[in-house]
Amino acid sequence: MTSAEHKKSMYNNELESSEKLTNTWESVIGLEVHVQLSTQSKLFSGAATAYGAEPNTQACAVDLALPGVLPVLNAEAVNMAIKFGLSIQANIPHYSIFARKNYFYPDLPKGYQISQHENPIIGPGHLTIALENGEQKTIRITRAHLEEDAGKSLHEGFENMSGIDLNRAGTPLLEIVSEPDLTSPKEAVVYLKTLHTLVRYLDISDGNLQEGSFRCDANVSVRRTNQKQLGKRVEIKNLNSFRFIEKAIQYEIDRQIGILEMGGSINQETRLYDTDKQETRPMRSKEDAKDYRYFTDPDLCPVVINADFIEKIKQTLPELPQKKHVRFQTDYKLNAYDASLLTSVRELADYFEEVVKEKVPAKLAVNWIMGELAAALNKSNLSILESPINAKRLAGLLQRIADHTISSTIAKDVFEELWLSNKNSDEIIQEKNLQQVTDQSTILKIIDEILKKYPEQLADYKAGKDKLFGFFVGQVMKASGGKINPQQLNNLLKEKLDH
Amino acid sequence: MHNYTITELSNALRAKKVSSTELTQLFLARIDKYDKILNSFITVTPSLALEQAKRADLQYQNGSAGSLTGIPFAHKDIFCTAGIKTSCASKMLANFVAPYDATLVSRLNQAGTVLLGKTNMDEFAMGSSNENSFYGAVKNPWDISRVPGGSSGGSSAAVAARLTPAATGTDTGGSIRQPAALCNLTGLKPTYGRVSRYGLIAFASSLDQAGPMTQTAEDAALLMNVMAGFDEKDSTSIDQPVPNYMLTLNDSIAGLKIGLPKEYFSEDLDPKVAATIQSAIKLYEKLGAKISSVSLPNCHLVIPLYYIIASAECSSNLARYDGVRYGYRCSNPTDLKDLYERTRGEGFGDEVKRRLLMGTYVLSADSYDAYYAKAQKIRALLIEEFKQAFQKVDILLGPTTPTTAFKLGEKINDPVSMYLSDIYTIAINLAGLPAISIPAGFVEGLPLGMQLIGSPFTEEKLLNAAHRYQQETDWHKKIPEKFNL
Amino acid sequence: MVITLEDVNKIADLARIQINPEEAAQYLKSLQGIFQLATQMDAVDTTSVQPVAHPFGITQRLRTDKITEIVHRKDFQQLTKYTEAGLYCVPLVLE
Repeated sequence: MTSAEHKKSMYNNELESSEKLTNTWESVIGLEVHVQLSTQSKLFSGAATAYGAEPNTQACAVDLALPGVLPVLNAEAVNMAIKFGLSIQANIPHYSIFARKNYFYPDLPKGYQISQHENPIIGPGHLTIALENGEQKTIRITRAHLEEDAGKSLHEGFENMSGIDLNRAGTPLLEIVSEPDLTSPKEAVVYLKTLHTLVRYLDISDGNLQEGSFRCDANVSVRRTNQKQLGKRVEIKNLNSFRFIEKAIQYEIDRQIGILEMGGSINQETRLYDTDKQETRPMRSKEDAKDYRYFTDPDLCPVVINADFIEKIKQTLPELPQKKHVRFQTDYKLNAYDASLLTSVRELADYFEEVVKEKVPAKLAVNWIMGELAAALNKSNLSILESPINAKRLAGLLQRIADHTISSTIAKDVFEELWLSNKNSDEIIQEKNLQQVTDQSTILKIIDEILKKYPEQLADYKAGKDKLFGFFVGQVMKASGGKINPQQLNNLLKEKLDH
Repeated sequence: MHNYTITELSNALRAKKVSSTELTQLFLARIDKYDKILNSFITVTPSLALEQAKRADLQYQNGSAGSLTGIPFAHKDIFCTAGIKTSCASKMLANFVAPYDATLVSRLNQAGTVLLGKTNMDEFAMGSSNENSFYGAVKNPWDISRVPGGSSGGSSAAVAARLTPAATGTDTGGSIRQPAALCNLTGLKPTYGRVSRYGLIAFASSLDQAGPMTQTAEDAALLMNVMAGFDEKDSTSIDQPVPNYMLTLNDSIAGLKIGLPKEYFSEDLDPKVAATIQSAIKLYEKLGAKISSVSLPNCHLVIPLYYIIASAECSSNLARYDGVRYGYRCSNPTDLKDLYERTRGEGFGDEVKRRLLMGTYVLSADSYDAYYAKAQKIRALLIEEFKQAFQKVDILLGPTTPTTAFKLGEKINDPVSMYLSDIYTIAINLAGLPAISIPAGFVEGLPLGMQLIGSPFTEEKLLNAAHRYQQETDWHKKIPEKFNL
Repeated sequence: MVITLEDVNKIADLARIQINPEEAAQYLKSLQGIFQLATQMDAVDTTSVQPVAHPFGITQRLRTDKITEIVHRKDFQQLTKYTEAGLYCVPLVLE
C-alpha cells in the first residue's frame, strides 16, 4: 500500500465513524457537452456525415485540408443551433463570428479547428431539471457555439503507428457549456439526460452516445461549505455513458476531498476516466498551457441573425419535453411518473397520443406501451419508430380490452399475433375465437363442473382455507381457455362458494 | 507574332492568319529557347497545351470560338491545376499533383485558353523578388542581373519576355503590381472578393487576390471578363454582377478626379522616379483629368501592419503542411512531434519559416493585444482614410515602387529592407481596394510603373484610365531586345 | 515588447518547425527588426476603434444542407504513399 493509499484508507475509516466530515464539503460541477448535429452534410463542406462509412470515404478536399480549399457554412447547422437557443430561452446575438483554434494533431487536418471564441451563436440561457425528490432546479447555460469535429485516430492492428480516419472531420458540433451550478453527480446526470432528451426532441441530434453524437466533459472542484471561492477544478474528458459520468464525477470528488483533507492541493489538469479501473487518471500526453492563438477566421464572414430569421425558426419548434410532461398530466390525468416515461422520447409520446386518439383510455395505453410493447421492442432491439405494431393497430387491441371483448390475458396472445402478422385485432380474435365469455349461465356451468371435479379442495375451502379461492379461479379460467371475464368470474365464484 | 497582345492574337486567330496550334508551338519554342536564362517556368505542359490548341482550332473551324479561345497562357504555380504539379515554388509541395482545378483555372479553361505551363514564384507567395523559390531565382528580362519582382516574378518575367502573351498572378501585398512595374507590364489586383480564391493556395486569406498580368489594359479587361465573378465555393467572394470591362475602356476621362497622396510623393522619393511619374500626371491633365492632393496619414504604418496581419494569417494557413496527407514528409520520424518539426523544418524555405514564426508570435497569448489586435484596429482606420479620400477623388495615383528593379542578392539578406520595397502597394491589400500598375517610363534603361488605385469595384474606371494612357504612350509596347528575336 | 532567443525557440516549438541555434539567432534578428517598426503603432490612439471584420461588411452566406461531394478515396490517397487500409499513417498517437 502506498502512503497515499494508506492515507486514503485512514480517511475512509474516519469517515465511517464520523459522517460529519463530508458535511463540510460541497462539490461544484460544470458540464461541457458536444452534441453532433444531424445535418446531411458537414459544417463547412458538402461531404456526407453518416456514421459508419469506410475510412476516408466521406472526407472531401475541404475536409482533407488540401491546398487552396475554402469553407462555406451549412445553413441547417445554424438553424439547429438557433432552435436549441430558443428552447433554452437563450439570448441569440445579432451576429456571430467563427474563429480558428490553432493546434497540431493528426486528426485535425488544417492544423486548426474552426470554432467560435468570442461572439458565439447562442448566448446565456437556462435549462430546468427535475430532481429525484420532485424539486425543480434551474441550471444556467453560459453559451452554446458551433464548431467542426475532428477525425479519429485508430491504433488497433498497427505497430508503432496510428491510422487516421477523417470521415468525422468537419461534422458539425454544438458545444453547450453550463455554469458550475450542479452540485452532485446525480444532478449532473439528470442535467445530461434532460439535455439529451431535449436535443432529440428538437431533432437536431440523434444523441447516440455509443456513436459519439453526445459527448460530455465534466469540470469538477470541491470546496468547504462556507468557502466562497471556488476550488481548483479538474476537467474529466472522454465520458460516453451516463453511468460512467456519474461514477467518474463521484470518484473525482472523493479523490479531491481526500487530497485536501490531508493538506494537499489539487493540480488543475485534465484527466480521463478509466472504465476498467474505475478511476480518473491524468492524461498521458500533456501539452503545457495550450496556447490556441484564437483569431477570427478570415475565410469566413460574420453570420447575421435577424429577428425574422429567428421567428421563422421559432415556428418550426416542436412542443418541448417540459411542456408536454405537464400537458400529459392535465390532459390525460396521468401521474408524473407515467408522464415522464412517455415524454422521455418524443416519438414515444407521439405514439401514445395517436393511440389515445382512437378512444383508448389513457392509463390502459400507458400500461401496454410501457409494458408489453416496450418489452417486445427491447427484446428485438427496435425503437418505437420501428415497431411492427403501429399506434392504430395497438389501439385496435386496446379497444377490445376496454370494451371487454377479450381479457387482458388473452390480449397478450393477440399482441404476439399482431407483432408477427399484418392482421388487425378483430381478425385475430375472430379467427381464433378468443372472445371473452360473459354469459352468466355459461360461466356458472363451468364453475359447477370445476367444483364437482375437486370435492376435496371444496371441502378444505369451506373449512376455512381461503387461499384455495385462487385455485378455483385458475381452474375455471383454464377450463374456459382463459376467456372468461375475470371480474365476472370472481363475483360469480364468490357467490357460489360463500353462500 | 510573339509580341502580339491577346486582342491581336485573337483577331489573327479569327481571321485564320494563324492557328492555335501554330501559336502554341511558337510559344513553347520560345520557352525552350529562353527560359533556361530566365527560369520563369517551374512546369511546362507541351502535350496538354497542344491537345488544348487542337480543340481550340476545331472551335475556330466550326465557328464556336470565343475571345480567349486558343490563346496560349500561363498560370502562377499557386493555382491548383488538376492533374498537373502545383508546387507553390516550395519543396513542401514539390510532389503535389493537384486533384482539382482552381475556380479561376476552370473558368479560363472553359474560355478556351491553352496552358503552356506553371510559372515560378516566391515560395508560398512570400517575397518581393522571386529569390525565395525552391526552384531558383527568376531573372528580369530587362537586365538578367536583376530581380523581376515578386512574388509573381515568374509570370512577370515570362510575359515581359513574351514567352506567353499573358499570365495570372496573385497579389497579397503587391505581388502582381510590383513585378509588373519592374518588368514593364500591366498588372491588375482586383477588389478583394471580385475574383474567386478557391484553389488559390492561401497565404494571407484577407489580403490574397488573383489577377491578370498582361501587356495592356485592354488585355487585362478581356481576361477580367472571364476571371471575375461570384463563386459559391468561396465565402469571401462577392455576389455582384460583373460588367463587361471592354465596353468602357475607351470612355473619355475628361473630368476624372485624380488624387495624389502626398505621402507617396515625399522628399525621400528618388527624383528620377518622381520625374517620371510627374510626366504621367501631366499627360493625364492633358487628357482632361483634374489633379488634386489627398492625404493618407497612417500609411507609414502599412509595413508593420501588413507583416503582422499577413504573417498571423499565414502561420495558420500553412499549419496544414504536416506531411500526413500530401506533400513533403521527412524520413523516418521518431515520433509525431518529430514528424511535424522536421517535415516543416526541411520542407519550408527560410523566408516562409521567418513569417511563420512571426505570425505564431503575434497571435500568441502574450503578444496578441499588442500586435495583432492593435494592427487590425489601425487597419480599420486605414480603410476609413481611403474612404475619406475617395469622397473627394475618383482614383489615386502614385509610383508603384520606390525604385526600379534591384540587383539579385541585394536585399535578400536584409528582410526588412526587402519589405520596404512594398511601401506603396501594401496599403491597398489591407483596404481590399482594386489597383493597377502600368508602364510609365524608363529610368536608366529599366522600366518604372505607375499605380492607379480605385474605390471598391471600380475596376472599369481603372482599366479605362489605364487604357487611355496607353493610347497616348508606347512604354507598354517595349520589349527587352534580347528576347525580341 | 522585447523578443528574446528563448521566445524564438518557444515559438518554433508552437509552430512545429525545427530550427538550429544558428537559424534561431538569424530569425531573432529579423523579428526584432520588424517589431522595431511595429512600435510606431503605439503612437496611434485606437481606444475607440472597432476592429474591422471585413473591409466591405459582407456577411456569411449560408449553404443548403445537402451532400454535394461523393468522395473517391483513391483520388486523394494517391497524393501520399503513407496510407494503409484507407487510413493515413502517422507515428503512434498517445491519447
